[in-house]
Amino acid sequence: MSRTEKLQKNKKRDAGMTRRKDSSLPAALLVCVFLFAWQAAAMKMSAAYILPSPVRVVVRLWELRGPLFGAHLPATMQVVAIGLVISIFLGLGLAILMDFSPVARQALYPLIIASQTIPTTALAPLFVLWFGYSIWSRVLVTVLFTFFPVVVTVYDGFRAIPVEMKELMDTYGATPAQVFLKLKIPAVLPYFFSALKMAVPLSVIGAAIGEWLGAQNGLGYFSRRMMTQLDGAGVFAPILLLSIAAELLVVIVGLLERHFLFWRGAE
Amino acid sequence: MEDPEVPFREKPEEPFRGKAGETGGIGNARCGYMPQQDMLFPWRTVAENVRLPLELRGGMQETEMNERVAEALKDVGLEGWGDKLPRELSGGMRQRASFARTLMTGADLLLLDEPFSALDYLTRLTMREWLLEQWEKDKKTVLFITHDVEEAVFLSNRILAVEHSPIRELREYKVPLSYPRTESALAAPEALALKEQLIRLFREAGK
Repeated sequence: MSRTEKLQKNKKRDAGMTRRKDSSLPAALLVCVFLFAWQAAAMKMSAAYILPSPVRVVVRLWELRGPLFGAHLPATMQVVAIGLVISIFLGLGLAILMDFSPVARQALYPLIIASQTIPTTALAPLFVLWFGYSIWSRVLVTVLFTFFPVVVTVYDGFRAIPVEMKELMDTYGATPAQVFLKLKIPAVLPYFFSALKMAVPLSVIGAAIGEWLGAQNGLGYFSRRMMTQLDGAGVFAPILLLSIAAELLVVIVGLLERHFLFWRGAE
Repeated sequence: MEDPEVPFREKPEEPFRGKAGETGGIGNARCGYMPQQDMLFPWRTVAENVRLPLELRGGMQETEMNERVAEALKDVGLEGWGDKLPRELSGGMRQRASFARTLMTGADLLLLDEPFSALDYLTRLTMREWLLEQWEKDKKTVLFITHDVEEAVFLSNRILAVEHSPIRELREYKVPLSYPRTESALAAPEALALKEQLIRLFREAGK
């Protein structure tokens, strides 16, 4: 056997060990158990304004489908979309800047962390003062929640690139632009998708919170209004919608990830 | 002796000389560097990885790049593996791809930085013989860094031994074996003697 063939044979040993995809059965079972427990507890308590049963919530969702799907869901989704886009650009921009310049990193990183320690609920009246009840006060709250995981995770991704790879590029005579395009961007992509998976639910939460504090439509606002009317199921229904919306977005991100990170395989 | 933080104070380096030959390379890369870890980009196929130095040089047509890459892959015995991802290759195969990539720099001097030390023992033996085969083709000058005295004696015609870190001086040893070499070359008395000599040297340096 030639040397080359010998080496080829050894490859079979190490060859692609793909992890079998996780079954969704355990999660589904857990959800069912939870729903049954909830239903039982609600029926026992029999106080619909405190704990409506899951059945009641779904019924109420159906009753309210007009305003919910017609007016409030689109309003919230608009805030989520704008907030996400701004957060992604802001987050990426900051991460790239901090990776490019150590001074920028020293200046910005502490401030970025500090931005998360300020209670949003305290800031929100300030935003309303500035932007009124326009969409921007809610978008600002959303961005505040959402940009943070993007910056931190992507910046971490930049730092995780093995310095040996950069050095290798240097020995090939690569310009900084080439290093950025051919090494940094593809290397950071997995981290970006991680960040996205965190950012998406956060943006939904941020939008909802923004709405509580300064809006006249949207699912968060609607939920609050139902609270004032002691309509328990009415409070839960928009929340359920919010969860479904967030879940759908995460699934979309997952699909995008699988497409772009085809090369990843099992870790 | 010097720096207790450096676990191996000895780093024999050996260049082997031969005809420089026609490089068939592009541009004026001073030195083709092959790192210890293959550092293949996981998001690129093997062929795309090998193509990297050519892409960075610029000024080459797509078809010409692909031709050169295909030829290099054939040379290192990875024909047909161009469309695979690095994770589908074994350690030895990845180092061969890394070597092909190094050749693409077209440099006359190759710097191989402990390229086989991350491989298992048997693969390492096979790769040593493979490397000599590759070298016979072009006879480029290769500066090979290793901790393994046997590897140094097997591969090179000159050994430059480093006793101190940071490097103060290089002690040269000529290897009294001719090319082409096989495993059995190491059994020759001259080879054994040299091996003993080097081991003794490094042991002394270690005290």
